[in-house]
Amino acid sequence: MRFGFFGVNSGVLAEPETMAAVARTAEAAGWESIWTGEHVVVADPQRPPSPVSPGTHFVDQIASLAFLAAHTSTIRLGTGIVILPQRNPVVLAKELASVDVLSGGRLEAGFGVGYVPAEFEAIGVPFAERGARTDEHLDAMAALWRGDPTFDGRFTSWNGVEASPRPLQSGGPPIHVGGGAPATFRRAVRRAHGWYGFLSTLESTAAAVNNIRTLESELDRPDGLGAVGISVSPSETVDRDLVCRYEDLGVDRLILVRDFRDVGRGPDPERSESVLEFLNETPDRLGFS
Amino acid sequence: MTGSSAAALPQLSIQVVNFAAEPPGDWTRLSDHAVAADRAGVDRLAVADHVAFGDDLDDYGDPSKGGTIGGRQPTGPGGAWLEPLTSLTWLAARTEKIRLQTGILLAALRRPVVLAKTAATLDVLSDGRLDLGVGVGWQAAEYEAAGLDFTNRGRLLDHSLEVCRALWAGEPTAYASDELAFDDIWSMPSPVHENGVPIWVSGTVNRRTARRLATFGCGWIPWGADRADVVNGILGMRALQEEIGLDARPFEVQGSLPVVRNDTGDVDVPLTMEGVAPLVEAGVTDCRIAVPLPADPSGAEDVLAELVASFRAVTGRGDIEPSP
Repeated sequence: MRFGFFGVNSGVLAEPETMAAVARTAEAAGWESIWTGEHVVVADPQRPPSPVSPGTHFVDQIASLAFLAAHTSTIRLGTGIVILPQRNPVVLAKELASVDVLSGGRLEAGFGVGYVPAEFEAIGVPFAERGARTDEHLDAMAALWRGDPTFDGRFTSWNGVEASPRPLQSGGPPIHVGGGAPATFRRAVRRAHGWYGFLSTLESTAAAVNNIRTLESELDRPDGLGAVGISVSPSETVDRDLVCRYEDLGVDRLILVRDFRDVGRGPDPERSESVLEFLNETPDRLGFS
Repeated sequence: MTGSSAAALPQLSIQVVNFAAEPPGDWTRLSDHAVAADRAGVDRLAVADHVAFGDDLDDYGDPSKGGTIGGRQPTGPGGAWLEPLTSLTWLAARTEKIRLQTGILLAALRRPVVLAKTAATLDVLSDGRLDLGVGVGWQAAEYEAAGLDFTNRGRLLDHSLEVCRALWAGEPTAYASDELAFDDIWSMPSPVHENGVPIWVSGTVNRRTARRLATFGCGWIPWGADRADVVNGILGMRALQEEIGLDARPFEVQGSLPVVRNDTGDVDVPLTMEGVAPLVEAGVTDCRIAVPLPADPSGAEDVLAELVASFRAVTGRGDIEPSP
């Protein structure tokens, strides 16, 4: 089991000295990875299904990971997740390749389709196209990273174009797709190294893994990707027993959320101190130091 | 939209190289030169932008497309270009005082709301050191690959800057244009300075650039013939702003400081610095110098420290101590 920490770029931690301290502390304490999250914009007043209050701070994920790459040397750096249809894939491919190069190949690239209509409206992307855009953007980025000279899609196309540097990791950074919809499980099998379940339970994870394993036998999966990796941020309190139970389900990585309220609002020195304590004490408690 | 006053003392800037014709192995030199410049007391560093290349780069030399006469793209289409906002954030973590400029960013290629977020938060991560230099570029293939209409590049850039300004307000924001409309939207954190990230507008003396500079800019990055002859460029820009009735505020200007070499080919620092006064007299506030730097960090720092000391002496900043 690998252990990651979620939420380094948001809420109570969203301030440069704290972010750097969190990353360094996690690296020194033996965590495998740190992960960012995002809502590029937040609507006021908060309406379902948005999980965060309007003034919540989110530091841009690409900027966060480039910043933290310079403050660390071995810990892996993950987006958990980028709402892919809200981004321009050609620009994003360049940004992610740059992070991968500057971090010495430490990027884990997580993507989701998004689920808050007001955010799509503000960014100017049709909510109804989010799934189709996500699939095509994944293909477009992979094509740029391979160096395909042409691409002919519904949202993006080019002819005789190239973009370097390519990611440092051979074949590009590991791709993770997040979400619990059937389309997400299909996307994970067809296009990604792994699946990421956010605020999951043992029960929802068991169902997701079951779905994914079934689809692996039914759908074409590109050569070289291996079995779909399973990363999960449990909503339960994580102890050694729970770790074993997730391990038994076939989960490869637990990306821990200390307290989802940490994601809310803005920088808070007192709470960020508690996060640093959590990062220091958890490896011993769960047995991964 | 200015983070610094046009009346401020003249500043010295350099470009650090975030591109390479051949894969450089690692990008240590980019970081080393940025750190050397920061320690030596250089005021500002800049990095360049291209997200993709078509196979025909001749338009770089064609002013009608936005290129510059005699211009040659430095790497060929297969060259490696690190994304500039990503590079500046990486450098922000390793430097303390130097200002971090995109020189320039093809801002319209980014989705505007995402650009507002990235720029604001890079500003936060660098403790308010970002200068957002923006231009429309010269390459149609790059816009097409990003799904955008090159012939509409001026409006696309203005739209991007409008959205940035709206979202940087630090409160629930509304925006409406032909391209996009929203109400009661937050994007936090907002930039460090109350007026947002300083925007430097690049371009030749033309109506579109003049308007963009008056509307959004704290500074002007002249291009083409107006970069080559910045003294007349500044006169031309001021005259044009007056002619079209813009409420023109003073603006900062970046100008190239020509490097003078002695008989043995080395940089003659005192003679080079004699070029500062005429630039400053004409209205240049940011003197851009391009000198070869040794690969080793301490050698680079020595070269830059000598330039900084001479620059500060000729601009009346001699009493300001360089950083340790």
